[in-house]
Amino acid sequence: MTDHGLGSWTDDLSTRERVRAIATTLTEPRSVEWVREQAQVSSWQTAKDELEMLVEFGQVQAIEGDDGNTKYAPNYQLRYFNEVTELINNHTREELREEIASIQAEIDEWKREFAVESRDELESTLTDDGLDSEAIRGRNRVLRHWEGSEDNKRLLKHALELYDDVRELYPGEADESPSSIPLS
Amino acid sequence: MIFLANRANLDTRTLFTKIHTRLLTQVPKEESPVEPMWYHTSARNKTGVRATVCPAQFLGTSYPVENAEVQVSFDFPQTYSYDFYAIQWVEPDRNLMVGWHQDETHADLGECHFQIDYQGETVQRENAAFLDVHPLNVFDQRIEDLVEVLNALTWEDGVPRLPNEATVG
Repeated sequence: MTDHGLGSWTDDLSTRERVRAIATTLTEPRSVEWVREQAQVSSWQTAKDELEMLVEFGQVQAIEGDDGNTKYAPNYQLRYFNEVTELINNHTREELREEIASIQAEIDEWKREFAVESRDELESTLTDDGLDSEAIRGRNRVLRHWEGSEDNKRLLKHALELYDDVRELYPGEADESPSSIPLS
Repeated sequence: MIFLANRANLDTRTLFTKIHTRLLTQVPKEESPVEPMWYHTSARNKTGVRATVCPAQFLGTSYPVENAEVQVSFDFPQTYSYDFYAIQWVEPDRNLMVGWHQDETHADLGECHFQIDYQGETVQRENAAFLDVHPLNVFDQRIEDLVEVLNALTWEDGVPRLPNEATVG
């Protein structure tokens, strides 16, 4: 690493913290050896022990890999609820509603641009005659963004639906931005 | 009924949180080049992380502009066997973008390409090494590459270019 740029993500982290940083940001099932290497940890056993502890605490899942060896995968249930909780704890209801409106505006713009009513309808245009490869790639890009936007909109809606109940469980924040406005 | 969001979206949100936190930890340090940072488009709809940086401090040398942005986005499309990402340096004042894109475009250059855009035009595009590593390590490597690339950048007839002998990572 050079003296310039930004410090490495590994700076000031202990061996176990590095394993944790990699394991909790996995995007697909990985072996102990892969995590060990990416966390820049010399001991296989240390990596294995830390991964097992993360499994015990529900931070990651242990699954059987194709080769019969254990692999470690993201816990998507936890990931989903972490995101919902973060939205509730860090934002007001109004901010969440505004974001939903802003995402919907983006989706409406895609509908107008491609003259379609839904993402599925846009997907069905990929086989249209007259679309060159660049246009197809462009529409695929929009389809991915569209899907991500719908997912984020759903997260925000769930955060709004759970807002009061979850907020009450947040120490010292129960009275923050109360609202009697229906959520739906 | 709860429909769990697609996993790629949760993966990207989780990763952006980690990168955002990491950049945030740099800010209090006096010598840090990182200034304000934010989620793009917002903390509620995370599609990337952007940070304003001071180029002179980032490069450890004088630099013609005072502000630049490091822009980071990741995506994990299930129809591809590799991660997508864009890690780029953007100077609004000069309308300059220098960065690495790993996506579905320019397949003739391989999975990953290096690109320079200037004044709205792509002025250079080269194949770049495919980094089959965790996104945190991809980010580290590209930031390190960025320092080398920006230091090696030349201007010919007012157009930026990375000389052929310089590495693009």
